[in-house]
Amino acid sequence: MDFSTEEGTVKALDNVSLTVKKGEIHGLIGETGCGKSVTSLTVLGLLDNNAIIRGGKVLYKGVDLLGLKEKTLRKEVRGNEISMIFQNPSTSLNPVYTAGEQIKESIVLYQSDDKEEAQRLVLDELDRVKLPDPEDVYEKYPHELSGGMMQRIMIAMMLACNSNLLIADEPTTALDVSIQSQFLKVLEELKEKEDLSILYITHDMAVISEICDVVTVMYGGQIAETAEVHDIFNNPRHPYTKGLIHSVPGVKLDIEEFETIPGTVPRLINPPPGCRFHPRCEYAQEICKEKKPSLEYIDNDHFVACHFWEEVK
Amino acid sequence: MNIVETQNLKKFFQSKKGTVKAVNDVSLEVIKGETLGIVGESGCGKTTLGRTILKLIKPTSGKIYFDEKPLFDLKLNPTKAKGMLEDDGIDPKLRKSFKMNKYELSTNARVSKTDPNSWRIDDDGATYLVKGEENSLKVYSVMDITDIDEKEMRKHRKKMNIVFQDPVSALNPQMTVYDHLNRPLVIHKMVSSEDEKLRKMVDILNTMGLKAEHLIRYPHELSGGQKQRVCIARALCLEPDFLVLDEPTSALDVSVQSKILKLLDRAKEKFDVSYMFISHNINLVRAISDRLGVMYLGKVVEIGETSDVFQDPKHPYTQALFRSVPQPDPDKKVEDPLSGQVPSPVDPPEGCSFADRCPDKMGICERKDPDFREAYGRRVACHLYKKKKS
Repeated sequence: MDFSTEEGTVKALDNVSLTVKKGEIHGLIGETGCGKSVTSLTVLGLLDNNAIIRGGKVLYKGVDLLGLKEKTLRKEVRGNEISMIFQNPSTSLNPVYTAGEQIKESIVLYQSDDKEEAQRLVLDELDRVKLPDPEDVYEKYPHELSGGMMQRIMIAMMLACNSNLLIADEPTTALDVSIQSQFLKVLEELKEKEDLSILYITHDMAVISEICDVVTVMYGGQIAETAEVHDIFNNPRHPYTKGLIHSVPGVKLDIEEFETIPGTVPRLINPPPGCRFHPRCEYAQEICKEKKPSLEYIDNDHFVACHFWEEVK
Repeated sequence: MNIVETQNLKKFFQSKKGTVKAVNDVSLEVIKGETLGIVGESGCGKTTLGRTILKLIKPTSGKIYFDEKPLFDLKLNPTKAKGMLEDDGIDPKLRKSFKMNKYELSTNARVSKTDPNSWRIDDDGATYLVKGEENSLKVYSVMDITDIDEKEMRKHRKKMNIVFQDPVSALNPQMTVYDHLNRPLVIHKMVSSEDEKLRKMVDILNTMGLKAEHLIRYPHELSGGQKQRVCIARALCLEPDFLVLDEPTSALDVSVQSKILKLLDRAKEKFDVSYMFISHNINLVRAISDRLGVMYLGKVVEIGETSDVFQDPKHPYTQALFRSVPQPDPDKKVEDPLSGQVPSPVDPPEGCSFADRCPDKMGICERKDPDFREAYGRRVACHLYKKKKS
């Protein structure tokens, strides 16, 4: 997927393949501009007009979403099947309607248009996301709620649509740790109890390790590595994954031991040839400048795109 | 020795809803050469504290002392000397002891008790602190910057500086990196020639991992990490003794963050500066700070050596907060995170501000605000540790 801009073509996504299984929380991690948000927008067909999809498929329950008409996407996919929540809940909620009314809108659209029943269902949803005192929250306007409560309203709204897949784009970045951990608990419970699948996009390694089953690491619009969460943390095979993990405070407790990745994230208008990570990579050799590494299978659903993954320890 | 000390510092804001007690009775110190970490959730007053210490905001009450210098030991029997200090006036013996060390106290000098083991002597602009230390009483001179006006304050500004969270809004888009460094150097008359100035600029940029060629760049030509490094360079170019770092890496990617932290650590050695590092990222503060203060609703609830506080947090809030922090390790999961949310700082209730969320709440907690007292080699504001002393 490319974006055409005045400065040239931005090669935003290059051969990105990932699979979210039913009842799985799949973490998508990477730094600013690596294409993680663009991936999610592509799935929902929410890209801007300057986006050009050069190839590939987005398969949801066997159907290629890229082949669907906008009308079908809106009526049958978004909300019904796949929902999304964004980083800043205060901009996603309408400030002039109460929280309850906004959730009721989803209920009326997707579940029941009986007024009283809808109201009761809203209260159920609020209870499901562990908001204390649902009757009270129902009457509140967004500005009267905290960030964590607003984010839970967003989930309640999503649940009201009975979606099967939730895409969460940095949902806790604006929240405090205590609120964040409460929010993560709600997501985990929904996964356990209702078999909800979640694509969780973040740059926070600690959050990834907390709730994800499978992790995909992106770099410069490409997939660097995919593996089960323990493998990513204990046995990273892409030099970028390794660098990322070792620069997270908490993995190393002393500033002296922090690893840094030299250089900066490449601009995707003119990405480096070969492996896009090679200018910053300590393992890089001639071949990395010329040949793009393909995603290789190691074991146990662990995939890595690096010519020298066997040497990365 | 402290580079900064606050005593009972308060900053209240008046709003339509009532009084916001953003900083409520905070007494802490930043020791020379250390990094003091301040953590807390949003709205706990950590940013206001940093700004009030630098007097970017006028404090409501309390004291801010800067640059403590040891003068002499009081050559008096400590118990007797303490008795003398309890009087409002200055005891002749005390006056004599000062005089012997060539510090004359005027007739206007007044002594006041600041905590059970320390006193302050105010004397026509000069401020002395007398502190009980083991078997002696030590006298320090400090600069009391609490009440001096902005014009006077400006002279001290180069000794204390701040780096803000968002480097984009902290830099002027119309000014080059050279302009950003030039202004403070000229205003504070740090250099005598253009040559010296350039040398200084390049040196400071190099310390922050930037090059001379960056001098002619505008902010939009720099990456986020580079912008923040320029902000830090600008703060350091005046060779300050004290720097408040207010979430300096929160807007940056992790790989960039770790680089900046390393540069900050290096600059600390090179310029002999002390940091107050404010952040909501607890794992980060753990890695960078020597001592740690935990804030909740305008108060510091616990302060001590970082390793002690982490290994064995004492305040129930600190315990719950640390429990809620996800660790970058898939085998360590958050159990029993902090429930509820931070109450509004507008007209906080009587008693301990954490009482309504506290798992260890006792009868007294809702009636009486706990004192900030020594316990287990640190200070904790909690009724649980009333009689226990380290």
